[in-house]
Amino acid sequence: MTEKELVKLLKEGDRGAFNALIEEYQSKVINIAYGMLSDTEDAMDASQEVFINVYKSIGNFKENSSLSTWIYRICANVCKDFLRKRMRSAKTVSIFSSKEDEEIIEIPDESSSPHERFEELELKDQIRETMDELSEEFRTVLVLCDIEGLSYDKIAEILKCPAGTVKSRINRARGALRKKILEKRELFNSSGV
Amino acid sequence: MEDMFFYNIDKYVYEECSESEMKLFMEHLGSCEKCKAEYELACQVKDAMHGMNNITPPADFSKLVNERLDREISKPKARGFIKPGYRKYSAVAACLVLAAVLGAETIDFTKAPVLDSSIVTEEGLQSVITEVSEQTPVPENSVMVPSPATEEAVNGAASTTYAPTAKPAKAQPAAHANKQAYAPAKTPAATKMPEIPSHLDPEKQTVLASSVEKTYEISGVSLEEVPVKKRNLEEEFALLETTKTGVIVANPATMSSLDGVEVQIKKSNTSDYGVGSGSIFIAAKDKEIVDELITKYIFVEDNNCYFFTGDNFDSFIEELKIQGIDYKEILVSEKGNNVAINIVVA
Repeated sequence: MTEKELVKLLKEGDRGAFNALIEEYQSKVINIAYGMLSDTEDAMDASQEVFINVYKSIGNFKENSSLSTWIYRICANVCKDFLRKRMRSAKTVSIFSSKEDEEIIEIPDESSSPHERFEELELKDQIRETMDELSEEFRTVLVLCDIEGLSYDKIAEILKCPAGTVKSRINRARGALRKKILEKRELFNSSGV
Repeated sequence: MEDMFFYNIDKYVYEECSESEMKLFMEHLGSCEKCKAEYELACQVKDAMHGMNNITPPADFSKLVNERLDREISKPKARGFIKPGYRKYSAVAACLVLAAVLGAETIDFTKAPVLDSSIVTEEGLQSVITEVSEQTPVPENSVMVPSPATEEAVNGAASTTYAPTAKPAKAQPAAHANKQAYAPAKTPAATKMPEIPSHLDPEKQTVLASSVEKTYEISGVSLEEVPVKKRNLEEEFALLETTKTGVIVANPATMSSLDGVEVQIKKSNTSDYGVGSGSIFIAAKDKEIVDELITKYIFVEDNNCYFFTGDNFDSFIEELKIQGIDYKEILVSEKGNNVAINIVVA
């Protein structure tokens, strides 16, 4: 089935075509979502939302871009939304609560310091952890380019900005990522362990 | 020269340079520890990142998506034709209905409930319903007149009859069980392209005329299909003159003056659970603010068509208020939980 035929069936609400679409794109979508959100459960949730939004919005897909570009664009925006909601719902819980029915927070006794813990991680996990600290803009381009291997042009289409902007953003993102990793390692080294 | 190598290190890591440049760089590495360390780290990061997220989708992922989609489709649509400002009237109407039912001396489940005229008269009830509906013209496919595709899903949720399913319902008072009683009176649709008001200055007339053409061209929807609320154009323009921010949301059929960003919602031609749509105009003096708000709240953009989730659309409208941006009317027919709008720069 060509992409055109698939889109036509999707616009008719064909569930078989929808399932074929999920089959084709689920891996990429889930991995992009995981790259952005660093949490498997959130990534699954976001990915489901991506496909539901695709189903609901396909009627208005004008086919000016490829289907994959459109889907990845939805994915990036759904993830951005998740990140914003996550920030908004970040809670603080008082550890001085006297009410019996309130959640008791247990602070684990960590034998290694945060810096030691970071150093013990494999590089992939160091990268993952550090990416969490980057802006969503930087995170997006790193996920799309360096993890998922999409070209600058493709990313430019997805993000609706010039390829030059994408390239410059990626360079800055890579620099920022390395700088943060080095800072964390230096903190470990300077802690004298 | 050394700094130039350091700050362009990705060029060499990702081999986005010529052979001669690479050769120069490699020679440089022999004598620069700083660049060497950065280059090594960058290469390690590059290799580690390549395909590092290798999550295999669960076997039942497709099933989960379909189940979730089915749930969303069959959910009774809470959002509807009642504008936020007028929801209090719907609450009043609901309370009156409840009071009427509870006021009945007995509840006979074999008979339809009867209005207790000591609490509320049928005329009074109907007038409340009419008041609510007149504030917001309701497209044919509004939530309170469920379409055949969703009717089964909601399974009579719109009906207030108490007749048990085992026995056939008896004739119901129109105000209660007859769904048509809740279908608000339709305001007459525009039958032709509205005339551009002649008292506007020529520049505004030109902008308006061009916008009218674009409405047809882009949305493919004739203005005849857009429900029109009768309004006083003089009031509209008076508002335009006095509004500080100069942003008005108006019925496209009346074509209020547009300065800046014109936002149109394309009418959906998809199925019942497709994207909701309608018509909305925002005329903004500062296009950038509106662009920023749109980018902030949309989940996807396709060419000039912008998609909001239902919640985000609410937030978008909220922020218009917070920004001091006036709006008069939104005609949104929501079939799904999403709203799609086309943006045309006037």
